[in-house]
Amino acid sequence: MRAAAFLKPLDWNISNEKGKLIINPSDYFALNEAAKIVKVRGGEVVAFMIGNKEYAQLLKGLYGATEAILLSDEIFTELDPFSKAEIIVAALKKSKPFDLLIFGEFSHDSSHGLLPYIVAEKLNLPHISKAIRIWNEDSKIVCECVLGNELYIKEARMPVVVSMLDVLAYGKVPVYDFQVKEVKIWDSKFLGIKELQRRLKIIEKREAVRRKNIMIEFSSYEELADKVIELIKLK
Amino acid sequence: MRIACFSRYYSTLEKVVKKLSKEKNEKDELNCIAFRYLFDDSAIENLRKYDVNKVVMISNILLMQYDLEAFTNALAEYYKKYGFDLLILGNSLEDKEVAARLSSKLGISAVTNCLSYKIENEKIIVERFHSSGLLIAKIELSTPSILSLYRVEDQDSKLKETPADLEILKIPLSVSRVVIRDKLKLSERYQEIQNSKILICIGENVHEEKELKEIYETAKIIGATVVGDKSCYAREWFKEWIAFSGIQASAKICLSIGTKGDIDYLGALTGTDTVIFLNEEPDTLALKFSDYHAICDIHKLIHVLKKRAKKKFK
Repeated sequence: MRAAAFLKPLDWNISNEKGKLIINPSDYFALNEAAKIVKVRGGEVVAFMIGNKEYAQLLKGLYGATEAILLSDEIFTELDPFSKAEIIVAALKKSKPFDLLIFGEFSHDSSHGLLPYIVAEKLNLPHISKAIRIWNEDSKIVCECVLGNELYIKEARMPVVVSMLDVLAYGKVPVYDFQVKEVKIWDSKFLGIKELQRRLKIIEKREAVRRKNIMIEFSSYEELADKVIELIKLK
Repeated sequence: MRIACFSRYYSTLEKVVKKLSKEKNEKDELNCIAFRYLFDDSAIENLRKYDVNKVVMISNILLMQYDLEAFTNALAEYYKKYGFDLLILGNSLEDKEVAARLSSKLGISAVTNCLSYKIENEKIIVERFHSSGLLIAKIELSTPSILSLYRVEDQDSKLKETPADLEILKIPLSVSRVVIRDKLKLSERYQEIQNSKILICIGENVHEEKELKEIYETAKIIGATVVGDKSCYAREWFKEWIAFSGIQASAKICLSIGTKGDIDYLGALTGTDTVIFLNEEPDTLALKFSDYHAICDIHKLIHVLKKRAKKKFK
């Protein structure tokens, strides 16, 4: 079984106050779910990431993947989900075929939630979305998915694209059975990409809501409780 | 501009039609797309009463229930025959999925979680939620494009005396490659949570079930609804979770106890008027996105809060 997991690096300061580089939580959860299947069935998990060369530090030594490929080039900047999908599809064409392509459902920065859908369509693959649990039965991938207030059990024959919600990530231990030893770097020349088309241009960003950010001062828990109750009563 | 609209849910589609028929210019052509078998004939007939140029009813039995590929292919068939400059989809999770896959199929742009949009010199300027709802981004895109809305509010709309034209588009579709084995209702509380004015949302730092019991008792006294974040869902304390990827709260006040600064959670509170964070850890991102906060021993507070609420709400 060959699985490809697509990891998005986050270095944006709202998602991480200390500015530490992290992997998008739902992507990391998806990687580990793929690793669990491969651990039982045997095979490989290849982690793909788009970003500059400093992101190799996130991939080197990464648990849950047998191989890591950093898609890095100076033209891979200011990407939107459509240009990212172009890079991913080019990288997949350079790799041996995969049975499972696994993504996080959406990232905490742009929150478009488009990428897995675009890739699935570009590769003409079935797509199981909003999965919270995933397992393998013979040639099929089966998932528990949450769509609104309904829970579905869905299955599709491999190769398949799965996008996962990280709602069950809490308390889960990563798969320590395999680890990335070396990070390969693929550039635009290797991928055969000359130019990338960007369809979404961000003009500006602003805070959605400005909160008051007032600290409640208290000398006893009774006082704190009373102040909280007063705020509730005011509403 | 040629505008088309669609939603997987009839009530949403009707709201979108009302909104667009009110906003459109004289030169705009507005078509409403409806799927036969998904909506009954009387519902489709009802759509013809609004100020639209045409209702296009796409017909294939496989459109009877939601399937991402079937819905995508059906809308792609519409595009082939009629074309559009702008396709407006509703705010359901299914609408967002269709927007994403369809944009890839047609090789055009798509934007999800759109709060507003305007058309300027053949360009579309969209405001959308970014960063799980904590930020709003203004995005420029060219036509043709697909927008899926973040919310669709109901509004009054004039009805036409003569119904709009109805065209039937019969299309071939393949059987879905994703098979639904089973389907069950996850939560009965969706509406209750969305409509609740006072929410008590608990998180990872509330460990004990006896504390959960005390929180429920406090909630009963003050008339609040108790919900959890993802960690509480994973612990199987709740069948739903508050997050931008789950249920988004639009309460008057939310008392957030023991939750961490998960951006997905914080974004879900954007629509809430006042947010009070009570936690033990001073450095969480949550404190920055609160109206009021206190660093305290939440285990002590949960107990005292119940006692004081009993007294104050007598």
